Amino acid sequence: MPYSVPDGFFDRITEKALDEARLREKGRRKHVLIWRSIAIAASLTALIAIGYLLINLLTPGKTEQAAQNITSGLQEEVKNEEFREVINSMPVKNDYDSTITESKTDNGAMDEEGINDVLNSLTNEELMELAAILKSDMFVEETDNILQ
Amino acid sequence: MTPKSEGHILSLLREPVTKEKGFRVMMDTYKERIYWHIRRLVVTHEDAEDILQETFINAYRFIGSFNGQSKIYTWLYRIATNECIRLLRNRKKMKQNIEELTDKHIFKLGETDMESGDEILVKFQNAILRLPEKQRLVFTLRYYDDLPYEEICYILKTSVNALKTNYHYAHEKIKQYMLNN
Repeated sequence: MPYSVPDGFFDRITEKALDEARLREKGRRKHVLIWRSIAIAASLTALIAIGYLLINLLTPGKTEQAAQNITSGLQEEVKNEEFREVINSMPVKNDYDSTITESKTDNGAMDEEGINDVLNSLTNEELMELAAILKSDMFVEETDNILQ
Repeated sequence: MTPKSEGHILSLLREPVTKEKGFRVMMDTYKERIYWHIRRLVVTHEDAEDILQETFINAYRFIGSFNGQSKIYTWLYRIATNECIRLLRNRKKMKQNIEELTDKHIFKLGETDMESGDEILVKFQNAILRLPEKQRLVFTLRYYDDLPYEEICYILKTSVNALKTNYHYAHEKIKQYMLNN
């Protein structure tokens, strides 16, 4: 052949090629590991998302409620409920009821249903104001103590 | 290379613990043969070295896909030939002109260190380099590597008849070149 080869080329090439093969194999393994981790993470995320959607679809009431809460404002609903609970649990209401019933005024006492009706007819702002007044009213606590 | 030792190389390569030993044995057995095949196609030593490395690294990495239908050296020839074709085609794309590339190869061939009496070989190599790609591949594999047509079929993915025709044309063209130059 009219071609020449550098001295010792065939002696060196085996180790040179093996080093390169090792490097690439290592790189490939790292690459495979990264992609495998990404694939597992993506699969888990997809599974969780699908599971969540399925659960919500199988219970339509929950879905509607959740949707309503999101759209109409969950916080406001919760606040109203809290205020109603606060107002209902106030000793003033029962005391008033009992004292009013006992005294039997001419106009007739407001029973529990009447108070609830009044409370239900109040707007959110009015309820919030009322709750604030009741909380800040020092006599409410005193009355509570007396009754106890 | 006997089939038994080929089996030995394969078994070494397929075991993770002995894979590197298998690689060394495989390279020591076939590297010179494959190198010269590559060198005849790409001419320069630098290209031949790169492709030789690439060939054995690919064999090392993808030994799992070798189904054993052919001999290891035939498989290596196939990988090496494909790498050479890829390189030559990339060069052609860059050069946009096959003749320019052939001339460059011939020029490089003239640059190589020649011993006295090699002139006829250079002329012969010039004639081979002027052949179309397919004819050059068939002629090189048949003439230099003395491979049977069945194995060349596997390497080049062509029918025996097409190979024989290509070889015949290549033979005629080289003969004409040697006589006229």
